[in-house]
Amino acid sequence: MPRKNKFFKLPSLGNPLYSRRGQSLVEALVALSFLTVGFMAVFSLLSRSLSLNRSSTESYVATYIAAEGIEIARNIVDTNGIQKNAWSYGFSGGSGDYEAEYNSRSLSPNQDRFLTYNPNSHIYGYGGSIQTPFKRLIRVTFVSQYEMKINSIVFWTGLGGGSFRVNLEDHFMNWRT
Amino acid sequence: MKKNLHKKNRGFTLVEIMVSLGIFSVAMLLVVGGFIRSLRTERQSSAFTYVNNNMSIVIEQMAREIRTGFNFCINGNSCPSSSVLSFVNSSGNTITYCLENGAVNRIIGSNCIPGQEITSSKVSIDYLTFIISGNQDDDGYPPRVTVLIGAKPKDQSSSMYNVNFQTTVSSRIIGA
Repeated sequence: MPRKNKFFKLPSLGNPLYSRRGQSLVEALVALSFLTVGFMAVFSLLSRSLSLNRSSTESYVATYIAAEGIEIARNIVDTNGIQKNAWSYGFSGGSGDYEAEYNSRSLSPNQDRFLTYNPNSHIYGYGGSIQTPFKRLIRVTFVSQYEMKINSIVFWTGLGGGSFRVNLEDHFMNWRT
Repeated sequence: MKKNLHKKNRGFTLVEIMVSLGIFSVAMLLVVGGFIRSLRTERQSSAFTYVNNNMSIVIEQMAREIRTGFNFCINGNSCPSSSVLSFVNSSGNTITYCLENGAVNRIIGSNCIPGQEITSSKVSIDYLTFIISGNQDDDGYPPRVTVLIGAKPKDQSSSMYNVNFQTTVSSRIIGA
């Protein structure tokens, strides 16, 4: 018989208390795979936050481009006030879809084209060399003889393939006459 | 007797230790590498958020002030370059917006001197351009100011990300 050791008891197969077998390979693999899945989740969360950030940047840019559409329409209405034209002069096409650039003096029929970016002048318009994902539509609706509704809508397809839009609305009245 | 004891408690061999250490270090490398990458991603995304927030506030502030402003680059408000905009705001003060040291400055006065920086030092402004039309007194058009501004994070590791903004503001003060 082996001498009893006071400091560490040797495992013996007969005694159930000491028959701990340790981990098997399968157990270790399962534990590791749980760990891996956990880390993957954290990592994909972070890269998703990065892509969402880009997506929010696109929304910011689109919002200001849409605001530009409203301001162009407002500018044309104010021009009519200064030049003593009919208040809706330049909107003579009536209700419909139009497009305009930052320096347009009138709206032109919508051609459903992408806005472009000019890397030298930094201008978003229709003559630049880089195509942007944005399309801008200025929708004019005559609510009555004295009121027109302008919607400046920017559409784009995000990096993930989702389609987004910003729709700003303003109403202009024939208050000068 | 002694041989039996030895068999039951063999311990690790050198090879086993080396193999397990190898597996462990590979696993740790993967984990630590992933962790470092995620830290970098987090830093980038917060840098992008800084850019978005700064652009939003600076465009909003300029647009609001331009909307109620007049005398754009005329009547003593000289705009020596297209990145300087001087005008009179709704309180009658002469205001100048310009690009100085990579930040947008708002100056009370008509000269582009270092004034109040209204963008963060964490954001570097690539360009600030104003396109002005209809600003002359008798040209028959209301003032129209197009603001072009591009920015990127100052942090070099995420500076490949730059964003270009454009908006147009039509002044409500149309004179006439």
